Amino acid sequence: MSRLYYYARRMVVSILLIFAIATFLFFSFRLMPGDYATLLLQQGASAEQVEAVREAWGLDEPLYIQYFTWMGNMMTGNAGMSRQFSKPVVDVVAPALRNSMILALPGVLAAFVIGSLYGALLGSNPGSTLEKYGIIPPNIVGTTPDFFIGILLIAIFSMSLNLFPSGSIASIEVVTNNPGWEIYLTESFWYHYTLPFLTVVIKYMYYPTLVMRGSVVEVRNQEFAVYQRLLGLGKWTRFRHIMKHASLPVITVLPAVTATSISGLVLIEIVFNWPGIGQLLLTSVFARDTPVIQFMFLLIAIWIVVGNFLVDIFYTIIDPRITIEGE
Amino acid sequence: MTEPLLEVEGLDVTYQTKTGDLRAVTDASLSIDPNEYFGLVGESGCGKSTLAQAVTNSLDSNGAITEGTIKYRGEEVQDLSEKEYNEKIRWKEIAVIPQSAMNSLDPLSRISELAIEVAEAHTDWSEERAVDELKQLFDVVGLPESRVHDYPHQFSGGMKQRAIIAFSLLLEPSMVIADEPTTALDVIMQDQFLKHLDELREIRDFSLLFITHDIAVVFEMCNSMAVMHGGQIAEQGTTEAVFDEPRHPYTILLQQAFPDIRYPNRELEGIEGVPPSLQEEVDYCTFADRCPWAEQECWEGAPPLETVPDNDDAHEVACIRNDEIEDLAAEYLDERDVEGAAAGETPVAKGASAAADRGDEETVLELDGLHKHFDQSTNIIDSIKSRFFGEGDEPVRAVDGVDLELKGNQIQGVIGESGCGKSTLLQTIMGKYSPTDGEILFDGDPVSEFDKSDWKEFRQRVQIILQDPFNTLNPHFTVRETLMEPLRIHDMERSEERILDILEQVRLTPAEQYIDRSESQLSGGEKQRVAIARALILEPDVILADEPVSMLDVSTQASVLDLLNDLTNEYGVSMLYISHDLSTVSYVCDRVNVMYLGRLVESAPTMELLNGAKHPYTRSLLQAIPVPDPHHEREWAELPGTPGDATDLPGGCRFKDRCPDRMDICDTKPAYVDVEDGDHQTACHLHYNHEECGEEVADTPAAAISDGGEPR
Ligand code: SF4
Ligand code: SF4
Repeated sequence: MSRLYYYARRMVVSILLIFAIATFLFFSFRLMPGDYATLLLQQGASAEQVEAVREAWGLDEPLYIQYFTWMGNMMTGNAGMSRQFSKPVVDVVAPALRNSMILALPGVLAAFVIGSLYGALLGSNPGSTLEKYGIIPPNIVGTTPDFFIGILLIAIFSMSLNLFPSGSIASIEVVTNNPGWEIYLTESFWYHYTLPFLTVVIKYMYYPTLVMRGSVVEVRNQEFAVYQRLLGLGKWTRFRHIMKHASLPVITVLPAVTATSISGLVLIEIVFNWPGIGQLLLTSVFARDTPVIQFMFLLIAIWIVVGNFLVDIFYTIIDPRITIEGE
Repeated sequence: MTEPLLEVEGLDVTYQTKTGDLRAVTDASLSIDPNEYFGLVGESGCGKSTLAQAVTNSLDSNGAITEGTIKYRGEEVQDLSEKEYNEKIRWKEIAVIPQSAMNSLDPLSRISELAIEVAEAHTDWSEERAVDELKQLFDVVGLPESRVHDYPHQFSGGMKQRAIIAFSLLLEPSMVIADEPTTALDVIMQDQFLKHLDELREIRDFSLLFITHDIAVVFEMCNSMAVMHGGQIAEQGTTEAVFDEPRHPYTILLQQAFPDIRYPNRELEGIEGVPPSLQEEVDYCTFADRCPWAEQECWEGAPPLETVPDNDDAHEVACIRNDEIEDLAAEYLDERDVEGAAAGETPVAKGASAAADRGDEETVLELDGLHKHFDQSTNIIDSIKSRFFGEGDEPVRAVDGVDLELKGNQIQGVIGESGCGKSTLLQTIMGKYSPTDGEILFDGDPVSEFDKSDWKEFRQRVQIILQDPFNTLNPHFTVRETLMEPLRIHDMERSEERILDILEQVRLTPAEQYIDRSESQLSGGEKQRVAIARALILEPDVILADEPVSMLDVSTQASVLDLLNDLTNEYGVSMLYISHDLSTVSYVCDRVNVMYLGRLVESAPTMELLNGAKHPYTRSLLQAIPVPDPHHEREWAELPGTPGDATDLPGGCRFKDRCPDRMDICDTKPAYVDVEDGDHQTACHLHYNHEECGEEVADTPAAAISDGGEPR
């Protein structure tokens, strides 16, 4: 009961938050210099076109009415036309988002799982040689720029060993033959996917490794863990208990890292010529493609808020103490 | 004669540390019979916990048994690998009650899950069987069976204690080892814990090895005992033999140092000095440095543990002068008393022994209806809700209407269980929190109207001594710097003599040797003395002391208490002394206030409170204090439950849910201040003359100190 109440409350807060961010976006773009209507259009648009946009977005109305029109448009998925592609923004952003998701989500998740396990391994053997030297690689990776790892992988696996292609999402024919999501089923896609995926995994592994190591060391010395040692519980049972506690801080940072991974993605996507939102964001900024930028900002915000919401829910499943607040 | 269950013989345990080997236990031998309760006492670092860890195969990885044997049911177990030990002994034969039961259960799993895991690790029980066994034990320790599936956070502290006891008996061990199980508890919870352990004797068969620094608990609970000092056993035997005829100087002095609530007038004597560092080879008596009867011979070889010829066969002592010690001790104690009196060391008025309140001068500090409430919610939405819509959670009424008058040169105590609001009270006086309601008057001036310079003066004239001497000193400062700093802040004369003088005063002598030491070169008791010196050097009028001795060993406790007592007299300082421990409070304080859920429920001169406590709560507190005498049969304090929650206070008397004397009137009507000679006040219907005062007084809010939480 109280659990449902808690979820409902979190949900309401999340939705309010998204609205607040959307509002903020609306006003900040309106306050940018220049006529908003022309910003929404391609360069060299005719006076009629400008007028049509004014009409469609209600740009002659008072600001608050504009605000409601804009919100309504956003909610129905009508984000206007892209200036650079002359296509609806949604049609431009959707495939890019899909391409990025398929790279970033599994990549970051795999990085977290592998990183956490590795960190737990280091933390369970404090003072050992394994810990002493095992901590060096994640530290090095953590301080290396993302693109450098990508370039390094390309140099080794693509240039020298000729095992994988160095860029693009799939071979040209495959891309032209498969405009929709079917492309992910082709062999060529997976062949191209390997190197960028590895880059993401390697790049995002160091953080959970370091967090997990520290948190395992701390949890191992907590009184309940000491008591379980005294109780003579099996090694794996104890490890399970410790992992449950130690993973909490790692899970907390997961959505934040996924969100910041966007900045890293820009570089990785450029290195691998991957048609994702990172690349799209970059070209849109150069092309001053305001509708696309605005919409993507909103998507990223939703991504972060929803991620946090999911983590909160996940928390209540692991940690029974959480719902007290809702009681 | 029965075969002993556990026999330790000539045990040596050594830790390898960076600075060399540490011989934590040397040549320890003891034996515990089936169904015997055995107490192991000693101050921190004496090796008692190490000994227990050696028995339970849980020494830290840098520690090892270097010599001797541990026999369990006649079989040597000291060389078993962890795996063998787990299979044969752990939990099935020897179970453990850990130091902190509060945090020993994994907050993320249900309690029943742990039972299943324990059974899985050591038996072939099914999951149902494991849960059933736990249910039965819950019944034994007085917990409702239905709650085995709860999470630990749904249990109160006392319930967790009991759950831990239940766990220790899960696989029906023949022996339970409890390592300082009551150290972190306040007196009421300790009493409940001991009561459960004691009752279990009747229900289950097992031996108990009870490790503690509290000799009173051992005298009360155990059949036999051993006293450890500096890694060695100094004396052991039945508790009666050790109590009646102590033969080791350490035991004798320890008894002198231990407060006994039955004799609050008795002098407490600390034991000076510290045990030798165990990093060096100790080939002399470990107590020689602290022993008043040490001779040349004592330094020439470690005294062996010898049987004492009296009516207890098992009574053994490691002291070469044990046969003459009785006379020596009697002589010494007499002499010391005479000397002390001649030198004017014994203060005229000492705590409870003061004939009357010694502070008959002016009031320095007055609390008038002091309230401190805290908002419960920390998140922004809730606080907006409560701010603007008036709905939301009740505040935590940590301090809820306290009146108190501290006179010049008077020591007053405030006692109560943890959570009763006494620490908040102190912090509110210090100015850390501003009061929600009511006023603090310092020298008659309301603190709320203080400006900056008044505050500065206040901070000089009111000093504080905290519980933990280890955290209150800057680790990078020497003693000199620590003492110079407050003088600098308050622009007072800074001179070397002044510091040497104050060090002499707190008996850190010779002062020249201490002045340049840093924090790490001081023992716990010495640190607390430096903290006292730091408070006194500003020549304050009032000292606020928050459990100043609770972290110290008993041998040091006594001397620090004594010091506080003397110095307040000498300097004419007043002190407000906060503690949960009535027995230490009664040695220092002229007057004691008992606090319960944010309010004072009884206030009286110490002697009067000890002899004629009126409030049922005070009586329970007194009852709960262990008496260091195996011949004394103490009854358990009947105080069920825990103090309620300071957010959701019951109407009527706040204590009613736990009160054994509860009457109908307690539910509805508030209790009153019962003024008797204007000196002994209590808030309880039992002592209120209803007929005489009539109904109208019942509604006079000014008289109510327990009226269900209405702010005055
Ligand atoms: S052996 Fe000597 S120094 Fe040790 S306790 Fe006995 S009398 Fe004191
Ligand atoms: S007023 Fe009643 S309930 Fe309260 S302490 Fe006195 S007898 Fe007990």
